[in-house]
Amino acid sequence: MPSKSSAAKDSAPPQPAKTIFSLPPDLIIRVFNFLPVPSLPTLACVSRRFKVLVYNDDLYEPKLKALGVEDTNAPVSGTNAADEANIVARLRQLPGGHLLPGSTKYVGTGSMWGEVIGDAAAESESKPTDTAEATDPVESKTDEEVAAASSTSSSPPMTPGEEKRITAALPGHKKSSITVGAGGLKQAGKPQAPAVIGASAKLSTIRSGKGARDLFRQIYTELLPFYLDFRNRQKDSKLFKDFRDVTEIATVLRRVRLFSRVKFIQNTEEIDFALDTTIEWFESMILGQFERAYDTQNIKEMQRNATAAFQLNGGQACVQVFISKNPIFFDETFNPSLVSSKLPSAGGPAVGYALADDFAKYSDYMLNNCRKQAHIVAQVFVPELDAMTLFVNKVFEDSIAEYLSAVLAAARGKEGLGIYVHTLATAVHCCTQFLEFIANNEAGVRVHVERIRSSITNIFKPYTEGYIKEELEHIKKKFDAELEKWANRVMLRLHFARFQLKFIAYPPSLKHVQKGNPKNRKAAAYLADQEKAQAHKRRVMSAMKTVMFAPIALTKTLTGNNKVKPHKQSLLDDAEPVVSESEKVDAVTYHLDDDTLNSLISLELCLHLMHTDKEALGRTLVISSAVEPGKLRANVEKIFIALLKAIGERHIKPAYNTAIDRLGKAQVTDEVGDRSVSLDSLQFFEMVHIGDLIQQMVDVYFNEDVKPWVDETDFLSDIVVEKKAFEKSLDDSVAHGMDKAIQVLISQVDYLLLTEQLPTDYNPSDKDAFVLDVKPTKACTKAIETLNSHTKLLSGATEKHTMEVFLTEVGARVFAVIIKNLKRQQISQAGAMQLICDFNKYYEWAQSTRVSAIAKQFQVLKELGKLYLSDGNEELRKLVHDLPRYQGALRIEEIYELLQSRTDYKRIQKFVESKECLVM
Amino acid sequence: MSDTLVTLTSQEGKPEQVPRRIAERSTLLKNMLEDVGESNQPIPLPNVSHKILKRVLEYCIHHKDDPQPPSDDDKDSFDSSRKRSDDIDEWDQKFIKGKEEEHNEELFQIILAANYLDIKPLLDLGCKTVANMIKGKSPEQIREMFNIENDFTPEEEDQIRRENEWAADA
Repeated sequence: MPSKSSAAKDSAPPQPAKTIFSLPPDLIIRVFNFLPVPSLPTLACVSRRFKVLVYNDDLYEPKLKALGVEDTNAPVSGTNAADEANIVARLRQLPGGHLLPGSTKYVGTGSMWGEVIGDAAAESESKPTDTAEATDPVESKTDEEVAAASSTSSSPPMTPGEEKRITAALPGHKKSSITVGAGGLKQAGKPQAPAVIGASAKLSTIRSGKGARDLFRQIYTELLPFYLDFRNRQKDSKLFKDFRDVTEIATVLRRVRLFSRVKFIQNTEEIDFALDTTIEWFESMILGQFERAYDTQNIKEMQRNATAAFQLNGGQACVQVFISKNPIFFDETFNPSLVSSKLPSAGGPAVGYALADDFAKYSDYMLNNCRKQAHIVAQVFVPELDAMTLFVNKVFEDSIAEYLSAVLAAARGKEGLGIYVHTLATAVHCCTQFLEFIANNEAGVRVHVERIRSSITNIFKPYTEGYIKEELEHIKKKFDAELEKWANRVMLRLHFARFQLKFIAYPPSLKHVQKGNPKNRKAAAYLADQEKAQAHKRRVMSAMKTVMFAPIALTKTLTGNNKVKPHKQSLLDDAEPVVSESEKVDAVTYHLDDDTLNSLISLELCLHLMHTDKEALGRTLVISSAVEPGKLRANVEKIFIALLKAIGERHIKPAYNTAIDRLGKAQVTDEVGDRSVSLDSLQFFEMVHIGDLIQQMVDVYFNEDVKPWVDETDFLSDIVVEKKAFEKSLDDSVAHGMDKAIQVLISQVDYLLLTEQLPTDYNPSDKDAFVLDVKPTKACTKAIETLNSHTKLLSGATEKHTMEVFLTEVGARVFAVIIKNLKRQQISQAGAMQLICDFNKYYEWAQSTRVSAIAKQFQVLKELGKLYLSDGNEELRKLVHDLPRYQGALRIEEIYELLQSRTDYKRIQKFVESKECLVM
Repeated sequence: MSDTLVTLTSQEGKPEQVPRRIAERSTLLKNMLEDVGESNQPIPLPNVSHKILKRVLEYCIHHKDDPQPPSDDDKDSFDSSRKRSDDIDEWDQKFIKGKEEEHNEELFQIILAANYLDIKPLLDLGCKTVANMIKGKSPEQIREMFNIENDFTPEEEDQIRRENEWAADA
């Protein structure tokens, strides 16, 4: 009937589409694909072209795929092209093949009409051979071979004997590379191991270099009888007679079920139903056997059934049974409800740490249990099941989570915040280690680390969410306590000193107490000597480093430089030092403040604060990196900033303020040299040193422990901003204090000159007029001594620039004081020698400061001296008006004023001040 | 954008306008339109006659709201081997049947067009229909139906039957 309808209403299509052969071969195969397998033989009988198509491998590839047979080795594109070429070639060789619409191109695109290539000679010639070829590979196989092949491909060998037979057959038969489970190949080396059976039959089978049709035929003929058998039978099926081993039965059952799902044949509802029922029954039987085997600890039997279950349907049910029956979940050795009662009843700091300790012990106990279970899991379950992951996960989610909440509740309820955060950190650490150790267990069982890690994170989530807030609160409290403790100690010390002095009937003024105590003088002596000061600093820094960077287990394991631990190591080894370390800290005194007279600022206190902070940092690192790595940086910043605030705003700043306050009220003293340095100044200078040290300590701490976790180059991050602010505040305080210290120093110098400079110094009476050996006056010497003793104290304490600023300021003010002093004096020409001598001395001092500005200024003094030496005439006038000499340091009016100090001022006045002279 | 009209030109050169989203049922046209972007140029379809194009578009309009089938070739062939040939919905069944007297010819042309235009569900519908026609028929009936000449000798036919016995008994 289709033949006549080709005449279409409008323009006729260039090719008729009336027969099925108007479709390209790949579409016909597509049609065939929708047909049940039993229809295929009928199709093959229709015509030669149909036969070629029915025998084509492309028809069977999708079916094999549905059965879980993967074509892994053959390069896909290559075979396809070859196949296509093959079909076309064969089709064309058939009678009437030259009429075929197409070449290879046609097959490829399905849309082109290729040229018709007819080769009659090839046609007639190849006809008989072709048929032979087509049938040959199938027919040439003996029944025996086919049977052997099919048994290899389908199910793994049953008995060693059978297996031997197959391996022997393999090399002899070239084309018989058949389906072999990947596991089977891999483990072929140890065929007697029972695991081979299970592993060899994977969910998808890999075949090697065999035609899809042959392979399909093999599997189909193998499985069909079993499948059809379910039409009438269930538990008494042929399948159960042919196979004895549960694993084999399971494997075949799974494959038969796949077979049924693909619906190769029609009208199979009954069979499918029977099959499903049977599989259900079989599964529950396996589970029952597994459970019994578990109860009797029969590993071998467990393994057998677990593998069977795996083959049947993935075997998760067996894992569930294994987990739900595992004694680890019924272990009463560590009972969460007894956690709080187990604590030592006596109060004291050790009680809290016992909780962390207890949790560590518990983790260790669980770890060892899990390790034991790992051995069993390794023997019982195939690796694909991931049974250990499920098991460990369950251990965490059930047992450990429960114990953890009990421990933490006890820590929070009965102990302080500090204990709580410590316990939390220890717990996180223990769990992290637990995971690491169990992931590298001896049994070699693979554990899905990420999955367990995420459940650990979930377990800790309720606790870690508020952690950083609690941690900050805790360290703030601890900082408070430290600051208060220190303040109390200072008070006590002062009290004690006052009491002592009262007793020996000294005036009880605080100032005198400090001044009168010779020990204080000696104590701060290191300041006077630059070398000693350096040595002292080195000593402090090294002490600080020893204390701060002593191996602390908790932090060290996290700072990245931890060594790879042997996996046998128990959790306790790591956990215990943490506990003891925290206890120790309170007992340690560093003796850093022993030889200081300073009651305002304390290295020791800062070190304590830093230590507290470092502990907190350790906890934060442990917890954040394990639970919320995204917040690690922010949390580290918060912890460090807390320290900066405590040290900067609450300790250093008030200390400086007090010191500066005192400096402001300081009075001049009669003492000379080192002793001339007022105690307040001394205290301040020492404070500058200590402040510098503290800053260095903070820096070291930052570089060693904090920097690796934060981004130092991010100028907007809180930590960088705060650190800058801390340093700036320190610098500001120093600068401010310096200013006051200069004030004190200058008043001291002024006072000295006022009291010590005798009227006769520069205006000697006649009998002293000819002194051969001119020495600086006592006042001058003392003033310079005072200056030196002050500046010396500062060297090395602050950076060079600050020092320069300081000295320049001192220089300028001393200059002014000297000028002021000069105006007070009467200077004779004879005394001028003395004056110049003094001025030279001052200049020497100026040079010793190594600040060029000061030296330059003091050069002016030397020039000034000449004014007093010269005779009162033209020469003097020249000198006076040669202003460049004075470099703008002195105005002409000042010089006039200074000249008034000359004893012969009346005589020279007219020379000097005459306006005319100026013009001339 | 999906409301814009696309002009398709059939074999005979006759233009046919359809909304873009209808045309995009065809993976071929969809990819083409995505590559070309906005363009009013008619798209020539030299392999499809106007009559068949109208039929194909009829199918596309009816199925305009269906989810796009996965384009993965592998999955497609895998699925088709699992799908039954007898799960065709009512409208499709009626649609593919068309006019009785030219049924075969039109069916094959629709299959070819669906294949060319890459409309997987329509292609499957056509193939399933052909499969259903074949199913349960004897070789002789099939030959008759598709007007195929038997080029086997009885001996050859017998041999083929024997060769394929494994698949026949169910």
